[in-house]
Amino acid sequence: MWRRFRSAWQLWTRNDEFETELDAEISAHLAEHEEALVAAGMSRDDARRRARADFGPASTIRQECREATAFSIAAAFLRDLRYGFRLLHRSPGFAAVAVITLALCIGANTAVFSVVDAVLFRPLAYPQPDRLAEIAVAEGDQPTADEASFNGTQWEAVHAGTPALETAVFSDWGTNVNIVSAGAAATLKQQRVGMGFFHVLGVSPLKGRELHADEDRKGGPSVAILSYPAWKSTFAGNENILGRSILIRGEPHTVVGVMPDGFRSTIPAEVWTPLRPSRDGEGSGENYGIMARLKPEASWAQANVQLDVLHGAMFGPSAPREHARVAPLQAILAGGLRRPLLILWGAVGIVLLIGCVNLAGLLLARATVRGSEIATRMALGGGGGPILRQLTAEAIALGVYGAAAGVVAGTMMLTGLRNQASTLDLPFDIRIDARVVAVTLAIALGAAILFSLYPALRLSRLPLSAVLAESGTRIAGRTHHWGRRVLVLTEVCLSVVLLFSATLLIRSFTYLRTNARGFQAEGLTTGTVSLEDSRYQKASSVTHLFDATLERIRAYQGIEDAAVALTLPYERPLNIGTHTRDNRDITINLVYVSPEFFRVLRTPLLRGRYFTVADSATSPKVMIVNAAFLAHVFQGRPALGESLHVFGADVTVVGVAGNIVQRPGFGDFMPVDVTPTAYIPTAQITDRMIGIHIWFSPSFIVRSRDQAVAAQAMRASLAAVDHYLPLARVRTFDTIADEALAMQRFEAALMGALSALALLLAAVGLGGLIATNVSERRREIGIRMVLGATRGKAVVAASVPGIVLSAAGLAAGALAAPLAARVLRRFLWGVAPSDPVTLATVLAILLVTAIIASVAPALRIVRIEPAKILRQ
Amino acid sequence: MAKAIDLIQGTLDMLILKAVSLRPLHGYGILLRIQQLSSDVLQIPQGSLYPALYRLETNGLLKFEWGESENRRRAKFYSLTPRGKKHLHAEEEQWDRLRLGIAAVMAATPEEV
Repeated sequence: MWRRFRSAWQLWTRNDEFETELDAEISAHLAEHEEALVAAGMSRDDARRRARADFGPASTIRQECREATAFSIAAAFLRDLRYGFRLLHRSPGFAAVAVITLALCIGANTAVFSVVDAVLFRPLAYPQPDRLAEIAVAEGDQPTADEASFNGTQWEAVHAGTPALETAVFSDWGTNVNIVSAGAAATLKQQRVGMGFFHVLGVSPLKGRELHADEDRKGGPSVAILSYPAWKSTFAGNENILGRSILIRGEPHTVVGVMPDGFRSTIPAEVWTPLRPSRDGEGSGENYGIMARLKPEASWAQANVQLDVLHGAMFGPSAPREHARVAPLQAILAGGLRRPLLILWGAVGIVLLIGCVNLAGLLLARATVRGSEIATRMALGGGGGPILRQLTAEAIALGVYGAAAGVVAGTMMLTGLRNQASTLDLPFDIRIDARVVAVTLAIALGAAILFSLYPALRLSRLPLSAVLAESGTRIAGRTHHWGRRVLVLTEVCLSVVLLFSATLLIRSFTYLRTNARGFQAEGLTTGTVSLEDSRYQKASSVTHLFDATLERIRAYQGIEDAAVALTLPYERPLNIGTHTRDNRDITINLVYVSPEFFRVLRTPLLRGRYFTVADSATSPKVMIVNAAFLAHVFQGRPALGESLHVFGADVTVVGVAGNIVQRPGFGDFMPVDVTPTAYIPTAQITDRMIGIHIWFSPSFIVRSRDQAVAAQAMRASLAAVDHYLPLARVRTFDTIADEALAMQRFEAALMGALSALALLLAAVGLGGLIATNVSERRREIGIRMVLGATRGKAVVAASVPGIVLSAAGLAAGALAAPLAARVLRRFLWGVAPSDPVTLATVLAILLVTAIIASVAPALRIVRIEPAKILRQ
Repeated sequence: MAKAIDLIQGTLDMLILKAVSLRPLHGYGILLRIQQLSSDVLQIPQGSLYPALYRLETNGLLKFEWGESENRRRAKFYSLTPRGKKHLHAEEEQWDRLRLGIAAVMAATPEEV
């Protein structure tokens, strides 16, 4: 093979040399002949003519020589390939099973790889993406995506103190805002960015300009930049959009720019407004991201040294271990997705492996069936090489079909995957492109060729006499199914691993989804209002809005009760820092609620009292804490009467309520968990707290049997109190919980689908093995039945090997699965990576599947008619 | 001189291998050697020798070296590779069996059948 390849290569590359040598050889031949003829007495001229005539048509012979060396390879390959396709078409059943297997495996791989590629590998769609970074906090050497936020003081220090970098500040906290303009109204995703943000990313606006410095400071002119899709849809691509005034949350903003089509920010955003960074207010907490581009001639090492110099200014002496580092933007954007995606990729790889194992099994079975044909051909002088080539050609034909079907299947699966992933709000463009298709093709052909080689090699070394002798009788089998048995065993083992992992993730998701919520979600409907609005900058206006709206909602027919809260269960509350009486620094969650909140949610009061109307703006400040708060903060002391310093005032604990599940947002908690939370009454909101409405939009919670009535009541009541304030995101707690657990749901759903696929493939593989066995031993079985064996015994005898084989695979899987599941440890809650109940369940499911897959094909024995077989 | 006969299909390769097995030969030399060994019974169409040589070389049964002919011409001298030797051996055995088989059939007399 190598020799052929080399001579082909030589012919392509050194064509002239080949021709020269051929010419030299032929003319030498003619000359020798001519000499011989002259020596025999012929005249020189006659001898020359005679020599040419004896040699024959030179040009034809030259062509034959060329073909004999290199062109024969390409021609032979094409011939083999055509033969491969013909063979495949001749057995549509085999072709269908093989192509469907490949299509499912390759489709799943294509879909998952397109996500992996978009998030982890494909360079970001900015100019020179390798020079882009975010500043992140590292405690060891590795900066992480969760620690990439800074306060205003830190931002100023970085901006002024890193000459190696161009930096820009931005907020990753996107919110939905209402936009109103002459003849247009829409809810758009808003992101707030600082001056130079787009410049640092390296993308200039399509129309207009970036933010000016004076617009990016407190009190500066209000301006907005639109995304291309927003400009096209909401403003109908209006060419005169620049300079126009639009209302964002009721405040006029002048449009100064439109970004180009396809531009993506760090979060999905449709409108950008100035961030206006500061040291106080929002800037007093760690709410800013810092985007950085390495300047020409500068190095990352220099940038890190410059950040080290700023350590004191950024963290102070109290945090000696923390230091700021530049972290590649791609890694920061991929963030927490990296590990789940790699795990998913591994899982889909296992599915591919199982599929290939099936394919190898199919090809092996087919090769065995064709054994006598091939043996005959070899006996007639066909060499091992060509036969091997033809078997491989058939596999390549399979690979071609498989890849084509795989891309189609992959596109469909990706649509489903995208729907699942849409809840994750990824800033990545997930699509099937040439890159993904190239990888798919490589996988398909590689898998097909690799897994066809094993049966092909076996066949090309067949002991001829044995096969030829066998072909008449067909009592074959036992010896040469070992390869397939090992393959099926591997399949079962891998299925256990995958099914176990998937079940663990599903159980973990169910645990998080259903575990002690602390409230009664059934019958509750919520709706959100955005208060980042010029008319709600005073506590009194906010309180009035809440009181008046709640009063109207409760007056509606069919409404049991209603309340308002800053954040809902399953949502991330406001994290604030405070300190205890003994001067411990602690982080707690703070939620303002109307007095009926606990009653509406049916959350029990454990001690003390609820808020009442007597708790007003002028009465002493009070709070209700949850049970987790007692444990974490007061460490078991009776909490009633204790006080904490919150938003510049001392607040006294008057009650203790049951725990309500939330998204923690800090500390070492589960994705949804119970966290130390303090509730304060809406009546005691102060002007100092109004700033939190930049990030948090309060929600009304209504208890009613009829969801539509609840939504209608909220909408109408709000409209009656403030006509310009739209109600957004009307949801039930099912939706809210799903949104909070989108990542867990995504993982569980995908792993579930993949393991179902693996299970199916393993069953097909096992069933195929038994079916081949039965069809090969028809004659033997027929004879046994004539000799007195019952059909029942024959069926058992045929199916037992499959069940035994599966049992061995299950045993191997039972050992491997808990080890493999260790990778998942960080994604499991409420279930251990070695959970015996889960393992037992998975093994039971697989055992039942294996029994069905073994017995079903064996039942074909029932249809065997011994008399007929004997006559054959 | 006996009348020359054409080659049986597929035997040219075997004859070439046999011819070069004795010592390396160039193309014309192979031709002469076969004619000489067969006492001019076997006639090879001269041109058809070369495609066969190139095919055998590509398949790794022959190798060649550039050298000088008796008439001091630059020519390719072919010789057997180890694989070529094995192949020739196998062909010789097969040929023997075929020859004996055919001879046995042809030697049959009416009484024996």
